[in-house]
Amino acid sequence: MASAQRATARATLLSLRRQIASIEKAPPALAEGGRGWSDGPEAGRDTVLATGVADFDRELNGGIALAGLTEIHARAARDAGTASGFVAALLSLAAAPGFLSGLPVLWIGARGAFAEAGLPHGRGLCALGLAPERLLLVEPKRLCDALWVAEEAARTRGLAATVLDMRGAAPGFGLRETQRLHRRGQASGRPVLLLRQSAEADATAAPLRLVLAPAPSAPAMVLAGTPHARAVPGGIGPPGFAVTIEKNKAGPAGRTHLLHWNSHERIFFTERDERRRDRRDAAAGERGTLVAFPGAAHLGADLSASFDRPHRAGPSRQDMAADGS
Amino acid sequence: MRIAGLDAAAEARGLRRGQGLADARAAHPDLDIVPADAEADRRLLTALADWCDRYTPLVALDAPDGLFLDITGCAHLFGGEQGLLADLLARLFEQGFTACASVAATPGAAWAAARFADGPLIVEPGAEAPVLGPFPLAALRLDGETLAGLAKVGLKTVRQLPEAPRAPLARRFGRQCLLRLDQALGAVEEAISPRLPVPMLSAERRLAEPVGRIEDVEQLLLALAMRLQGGLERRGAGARALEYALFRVDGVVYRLCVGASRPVRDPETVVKLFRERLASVGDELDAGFGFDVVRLSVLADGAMDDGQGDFSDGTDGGDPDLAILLDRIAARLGANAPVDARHPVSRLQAVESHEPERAEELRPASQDRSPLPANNMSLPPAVPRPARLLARPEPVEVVAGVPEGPPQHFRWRRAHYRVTRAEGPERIAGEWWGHEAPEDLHPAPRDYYRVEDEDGRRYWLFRRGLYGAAGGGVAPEWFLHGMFA
Repeated sequence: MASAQRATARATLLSLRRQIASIEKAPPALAEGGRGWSDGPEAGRDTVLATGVADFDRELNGGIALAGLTEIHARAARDAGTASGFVAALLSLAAAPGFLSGLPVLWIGARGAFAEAGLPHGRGLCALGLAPERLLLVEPKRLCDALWVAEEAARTRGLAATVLDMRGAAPGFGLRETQRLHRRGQASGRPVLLLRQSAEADATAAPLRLVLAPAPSAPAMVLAGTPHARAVPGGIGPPGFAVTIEKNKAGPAGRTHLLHWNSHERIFFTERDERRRDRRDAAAGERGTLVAFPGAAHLGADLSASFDRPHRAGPSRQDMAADGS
Repeated sequence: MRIAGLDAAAEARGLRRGQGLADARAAHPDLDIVPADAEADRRLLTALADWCDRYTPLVALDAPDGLFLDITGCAHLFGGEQGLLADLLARLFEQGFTACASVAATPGAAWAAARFADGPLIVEPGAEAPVLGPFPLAALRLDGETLAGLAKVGLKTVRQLPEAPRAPLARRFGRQCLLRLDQALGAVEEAISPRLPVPMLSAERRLAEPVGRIEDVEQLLLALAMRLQGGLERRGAGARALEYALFRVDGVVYRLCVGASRPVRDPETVVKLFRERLASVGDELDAGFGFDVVRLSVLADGAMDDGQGDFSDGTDGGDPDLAILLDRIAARLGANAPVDARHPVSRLQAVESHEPERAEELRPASQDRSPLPANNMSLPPAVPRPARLLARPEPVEVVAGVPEGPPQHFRWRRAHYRVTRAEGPERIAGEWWGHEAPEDLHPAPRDYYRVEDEDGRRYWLFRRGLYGAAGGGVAPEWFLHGMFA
């Protein structure tokens, strides 16, 4: 009798757990047996955006979940450039699914966000890989209008992503509002990026919150991928981001990752990846054949550069300009 | 100061228009005097014209104190011309207006009958001449000089004018006096110019019981939109601009306009657009004692292809259409304008300019919004450009190693930064060749540096001006213009 009661209680508990897991969109491991449910239209909702940095992606259980809300914080308004750059990089990752790289992006500036940190600059975002033609900007005067636009945009499948750019602590924006945004993003399978400048860490429904801090850029390299690769003194190379995972539903939180953005290949990398790659490139470079490199002829006669191989962090025009200074 | 207008009680005391105010006051010290305000009169007349829209869409102003209503084909809705006239006068009387009105086949005859007949009059077509006959010549809308001239030759009433020889009259008093006569008698067509564009389609609903709740207003809108749908389908068109007019019981008329980037016909979509408009109007829409007439009009339309739908597009709850989203944003955030001239959503447009402030413009997203326009911005810039550009460069205090060198320290927004790496300069000089070139043709050049501080923040700084004699004795200044990723 007692065991029968216990069995009923256990069944009830299990079904309740399943319900909660389905509400919270927890990883399937937690929702035992709930695997088969998320077929059909829901299949697209579990897409993740892999950044290409193995450690970081592992902690996020594969990558940043595309459907729903993701918070990206910058502790101060002066770090808005870093955070905006990170958003632009995320939206132009080479590994992103097709819709994310083709459809327009609606960038909503809540009151004061553009005035304090500047407008997103098309050419600068283009340098990071985000085509400025895809960008739609709107700056509603009131926060409630901005939230309304964000909610409506989150539901629209004709948009690749919605970016809500907010500044400081906003009265009238809390857990409820993030829940609404998250739910709408989840329903449409489109990402909603909440970009907050100089905001405190308050309660949020977003499963992931990243805090962006600036990090020194990687060295600007010339002749990368050759035995003659060297850093330009004082040169500014691929931008660095110090990304702290502050809240993470899919795994551990608290670690800070140092990422760099390669805008040529549209992928994030870490310094360790870079060193490993350099070693491999150098090894490959020794076996290469000399083709031509008129501009750098004075650097050495035994120059072996392979033009047919795409080289990362190659000598861009920016670096050349820096070299001259 | 003279009397510009007066009421019946003052008229009964023997006062008249144009009389000196001092005289009138001397005779009647208890006069209640209000300064004339032509602007307010005009506003009142416009509001009245708005209200008269409930009878016909063709309402023309006849400043300063008249309105023309073209009721062709409308009168039967109000129980004939007599019924319309009675309804109009009764409602105006209830609102506190003293009005005279008449119905005639020509605007001129109606004007004369309204002003000079003893009561509301309906002039049958063809009966203008006998009705207008006894009226003074002022009934023909003639100017004062012509009237005085006609009076001098003994012409005082309308009846005398057709009897007089036309050629000498025209020679002496101009064509106007005969033209007005012919217009009044219907020999010459006269068109009135309606003050509002005539909608191509409209549906309206008259309510026995006025409604005030926003839900009811939306419900009525849905019913009207469903009625319009049939008409639009027959024309193979969809609405590009819609107007929802709400007539309040006490005479106030609210007009809500929305635009659509592509023709719409579906009633649900129409309601969605207006729902945002209603939400943005919010408290300004005061229902008061309720609305008794609502009307939905199509102001502009566009051809609409009827495509066969398929089952493939997955519309699982979300609204897949970006165009509808943009229209709704415009309805909510934009002005109350039917055509989306100034769309609140903008996109970036590259401009051929070296000056960073002018290199990109915000253009309304309404113009050729889809497909995405191809312009020359997809190529990465050859020189560094920041991810965010400040609207106006902010002054910074800079310490540089050498005068023309890159900055080593700077202070911006009360914070101190130590520069560890710097790239530059990139010199951007003024555009003296442009059509909006500055006066002096040689504006101070700017030297831009991309710098990185100890923490890794990357900024775009520039020095404006030149050192030494080339700078004309003005010391260069430093500014911060943008933030890199």
